[in-house]
Amino acid sequence: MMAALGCWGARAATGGEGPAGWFASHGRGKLEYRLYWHAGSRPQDSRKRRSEYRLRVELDIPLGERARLFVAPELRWDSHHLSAGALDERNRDEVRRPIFHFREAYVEWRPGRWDLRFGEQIFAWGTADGFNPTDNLNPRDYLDLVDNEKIPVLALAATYHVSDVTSLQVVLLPLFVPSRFDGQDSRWSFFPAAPPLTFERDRPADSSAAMQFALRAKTSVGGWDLSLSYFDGYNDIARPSLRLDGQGQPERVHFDYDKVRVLGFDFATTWRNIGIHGEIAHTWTRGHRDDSYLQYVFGIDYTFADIRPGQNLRLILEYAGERRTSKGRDLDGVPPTRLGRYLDGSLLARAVYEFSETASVEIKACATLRGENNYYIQPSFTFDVRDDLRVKVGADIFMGDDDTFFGQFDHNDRFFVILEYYF
Amino acid sequence: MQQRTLNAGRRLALLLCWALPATAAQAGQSALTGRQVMERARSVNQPDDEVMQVEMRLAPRGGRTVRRRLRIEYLKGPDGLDRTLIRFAYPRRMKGTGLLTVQRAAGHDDQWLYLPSLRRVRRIAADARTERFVQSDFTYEDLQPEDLDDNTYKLLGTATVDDRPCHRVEARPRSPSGYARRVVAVDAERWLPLRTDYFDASGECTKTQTVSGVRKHGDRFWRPGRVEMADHRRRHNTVFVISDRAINQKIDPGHFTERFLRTGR
Repeated sequence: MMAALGCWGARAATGGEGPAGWFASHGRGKLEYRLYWHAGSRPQDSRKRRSEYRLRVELDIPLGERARLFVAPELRWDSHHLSAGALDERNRDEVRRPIFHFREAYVEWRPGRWDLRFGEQIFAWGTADGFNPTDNLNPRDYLDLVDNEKIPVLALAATYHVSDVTSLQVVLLPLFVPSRFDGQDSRWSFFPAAPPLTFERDRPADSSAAMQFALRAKTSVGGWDLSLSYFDGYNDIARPSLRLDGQGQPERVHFDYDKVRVLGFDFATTWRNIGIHGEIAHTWTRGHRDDSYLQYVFGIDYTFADIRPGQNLRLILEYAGERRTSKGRDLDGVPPTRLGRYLDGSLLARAVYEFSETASVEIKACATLRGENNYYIQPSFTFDVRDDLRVKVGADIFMGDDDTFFGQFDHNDRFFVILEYYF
Repeated sequence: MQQRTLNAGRRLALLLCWALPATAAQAGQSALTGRQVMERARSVNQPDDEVMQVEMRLAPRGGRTVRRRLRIEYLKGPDGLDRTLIRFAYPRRMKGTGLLTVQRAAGHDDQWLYLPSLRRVRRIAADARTERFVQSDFTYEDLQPEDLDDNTYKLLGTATVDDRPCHRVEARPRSPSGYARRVVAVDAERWLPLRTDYFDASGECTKTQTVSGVRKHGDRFWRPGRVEMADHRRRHNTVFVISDRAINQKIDPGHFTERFLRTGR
C-alpha cells in the first residue's frame, strides 16, 4: 500500500522513474543551516557565533512483504567543533558528536502479530509534550542544551499486538550509551571554567550483566490511551564526583552511571475539544548513591480556531513536578548537572499562532516556580518560502539566579536563524 | 505540522467518498420534498471501502498556492463504524504524517496523529464544527455527512448547474452552526450535489462549494474529480483534486491500527 503511495508521490515529484523516482518513493531528506548569535559570554566560552550544517536522509526500503530496512544517515558540521569523528566510533565516551553517523538504522520483521526490530533506534514513550519521565531508553545530546536531541541506541525491540489497540513491547539494550554534555569549555558546560579539571567516566562494561531492558504494555479503552512501562538499566546522565590531588586541590571529576529502575504510567484522553495527557514515573536508584524520586507531568491542549478568518491559536500547557522519595549520599562537593531533574514545580507552555498556511509565530516557555525562580522563553517566527523551503528566526532567553538551572545560562541568550530545505 | 490541521479525517473522507453522491437508479421521482431529495443524496450509495489520492490546493487571492498531497483510506467496519486513515505525501516535510480516525458508537471519534519527526503517536481532540481543516476553506461542519435530523429542508424549485437539471433545496440548521442556511443544488439524475451556497445571518453568501469532473466508478458510484470551496470573505479558495480512486476493493482492516499508522505497513 505504501509502495503505491510512494509511486504516486514519485510521479508527482519527478514525473518519472530512475534513481530520483526511487528516492521519492522510498526516501526523503533535509538540508539544514543554523546560525546562532549569542549576546553575551560565559567564562567557559566567549565565542558569539556558531554556524551549523546538517544533512539528513531517510530511506525506508521494503524487504519483501513483511520486512523493511530503515536507514537514516546524517552528516553534520559546526563552527565550534561540537562534531568530530564518524559512526559514533563505538567510543561512547566521546563527548563530541559524530560528523557522520546513522541517526537510525534497523531491520524490521513483522511475522503475524509480532514486530521485531533490530538496530540503532529512537524510541518515543509517553504522552507529554515538553517532558517525558517515562521515556528513558535513549540518552540525549546536551552539547546544545536548547536543541538537545535523542541519541540512537542499539536495541532489539519486540512488540506483540494482542489486538488492534493493545500491545506488549520488550526492548533489550546490549550496550550502554551515556548522555552527551561538555566539561568545561562550552557555553553549555555545567562546571566552572576554573580550576582546570580532567574528566573521567566509569561507564558500565559491555557485558551481559550490564544489559538494559524495558517493558511496555499499551491499550486504548473508552477514549483513553493507557500505558504501563518499566525500565531496568542505567541513568544515562552521569553523577559527578570530585577527586582531589595530594594537596587537597580539585583535580578530576569522576562520572558514574547509577543503576536505576523506573516504573511509569502515562495516559491521554480528550474532553470535548480539549486534549488531556499525563505521565508519572518513579525512579529507584540502586545503592542509594543518588536520590530516588517520583516525577510527574500533566497537561492540556486546546485550539482557538478562526480568531480571524484562517488564523488559529494552539495552546499546550503542562505542569511538571518531582518528589524525592529517598535522599542519595552527598555528591562529593560537585553539584549535579540536574539534567533530567530540573523541572520541579514547573510550568511548560507552547503557544502557536498560525497566521496563514505559510506563516506562524510560536512561543515556548518553561518557568520553574517552586523554590528558585528561573525561566526559559523561546519566541520564534516560521515562514514557508516554498513548499520545500522553510525559514525560522527566533531567540532563546534565560532568566534566573546563577545557582538556578536556567539562570546559570543567563549569558547564553541568543538569536537564531534556521533554514530548512526538504527533498 | 500542527495537530489541529489534521483533524476531521473521517469527515474529509466522507465528503470525498459517499456522503454526497447517490445512484442514478434513484432518479426520476417527482413531487419530492426537500428532505427526500437530501435523503437520496446522502444515504443510497455508501461503499464498504474506498481509497483515493487527493491533491489540496490552498489559494489566497493574489497569493501563492500551497499544495498538499495525501492518500485517504476509508473502511466501514463490521460494527458499522467508520475508519479513516489519511497519510500525507507532500510537502516533503510532512511526508509520512498520518491521521487515524475511528468512529465510536457514542461520543467523539478516536483520533491519533503520527508525527514521523517525533516518532510519536498522539491522541488528539475531536474537532469543533466551525474549525478549518488544514487551513483550508472547508470547516469540519462542511466535511460532515448530512445529518438530516439536524436540519429542516425546503424544496425551492429547480435549476440548471453545469447543464445538469438540479433540485434546489434550502437547509436550515436546528443546532448551532456556522451558517444561517445553505442552498444546495442536487443533480436530479445522479443525486450528486453540484453546488452549495452558504449564507450567514445577514443573508450574505459567504462561501460557495462546487464540484466538477463527475464520472461513474464501476457500475454505480458517481464521484466528483474535483471539489472546490470559495470563501468570499476570506478571499481564498480550496480545491481538492481526486485521483486514483478505488472503491470496494476489500481494503485490509489492519490499515486502521496504530501499528499501520506508524509504519505504513
